[in-house]
Amino acid sequence: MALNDTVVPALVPQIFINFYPIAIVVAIVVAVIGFTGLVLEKNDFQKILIVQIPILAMYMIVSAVGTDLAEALILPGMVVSLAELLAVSEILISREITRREKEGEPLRVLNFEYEPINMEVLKTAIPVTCIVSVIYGVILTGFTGGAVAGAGILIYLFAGRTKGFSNEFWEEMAGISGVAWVFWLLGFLIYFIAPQYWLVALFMSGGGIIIKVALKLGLLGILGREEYNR
Amino acid sequence: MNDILDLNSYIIGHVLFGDIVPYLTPFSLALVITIVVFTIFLALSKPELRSVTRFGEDVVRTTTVGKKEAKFRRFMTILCGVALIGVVTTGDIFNFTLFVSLVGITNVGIFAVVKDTHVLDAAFQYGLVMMICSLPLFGGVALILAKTGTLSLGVLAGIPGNPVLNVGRMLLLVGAVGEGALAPFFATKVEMIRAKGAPYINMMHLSSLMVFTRLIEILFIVG
Repeated sequence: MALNDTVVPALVPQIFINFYPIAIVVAIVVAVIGFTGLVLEKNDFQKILIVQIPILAMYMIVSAVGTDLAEALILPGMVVSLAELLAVSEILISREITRREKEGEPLRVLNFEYEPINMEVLKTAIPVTCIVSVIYGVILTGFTGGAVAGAGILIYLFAGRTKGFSNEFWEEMAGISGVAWVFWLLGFLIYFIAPQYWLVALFMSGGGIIIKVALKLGLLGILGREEYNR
Repeated sequence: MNDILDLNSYIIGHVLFGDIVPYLTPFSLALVITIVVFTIFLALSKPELRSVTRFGEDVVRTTTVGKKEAKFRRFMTILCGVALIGVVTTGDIFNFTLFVSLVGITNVGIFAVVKDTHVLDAAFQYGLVMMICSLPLFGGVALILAKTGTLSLGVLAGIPGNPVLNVGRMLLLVGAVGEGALAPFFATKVEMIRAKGAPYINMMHLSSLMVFTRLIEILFIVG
């Protein structure tokens, strides 16, 4: 499955081109493992989980191409597979509820007892991970940086103990997110109206999008926690 | 654009939007008109009242569809129609895959609110097939991209066929067949069609037909 040399630019090293068939073969092996699991598995819930293995192979095949067009292909691919996963699990839940209602079997909520583990690392690792990813996100800036920093905030909100910040604080953060978004838009507007001030526009849009994306993900964490507490 | 012209006589109009070039030909215009008329017809019509006569009893039962349920199904039907218009008019294989996936998701969505175990079971199986088939669908597109460096149908029409491209086309065929639930997987759709609420489920037949028609056209154009 050698690539046509006319398609790949000359500046790409030969070793990267040689990696492509290996990546495809690995993806096919992963897909075969996933399909075998699907054939052998009888439990519907487990099937949904195992389906993620072929989808992983799909990510591998797409990302093996390694161009910007492939990057543009992989993000919608992830969104589509996530949407399908949500739809199928909703259907599974709906089916189970309908079946139990018909058969008169009561719906049980799993209520298992547990004992919290007292380990130093569980308390300290979460804030450190959060701080490191936020700093790294600030260095990256832009959309990617916002995603990295937001993931750090998300970890903190899901797993850490949020003593210092009340819900009002995070609601104010949502307002700041909106202001940052306006900065991003204004930065883009400056690009078109006055291209000579491109540096200002770059800083406005780059700084705006990182704050916006990071706080959006943080907001997601707040919503998830409130949903869980209810 | 030779292959596109051979198949479709001439291009009525196209939107130049970077790489993404939706275009209309007399053939796709006919498909678009069919979809629009059908979608409007389904959106305006009321859900059916199914009467069931049972042997041994002297009664005729009528089943109704709840207002909320009908509303959700109508919304999904309209969304499916919009996705189908995208499938038919797009000039980009990448957009084609996304629209086909959207058609699959909305098809499942039409049945998500039905309170019927065997219908939900069939919808679940269809969903599983849909998720598995995103591997060949996106894999085939990625293979075409790796071989030719483009996903635009206008450019791909001028590139002669070769074995790698044929593998990509084959994968695209398998993927789109699974996502749109065409021939071998149509059994799941038939099982789902046993649900009550007649006008909306007709969208599934139309979606299968349109995805199939457009898929064959794209397979001819590529390579």
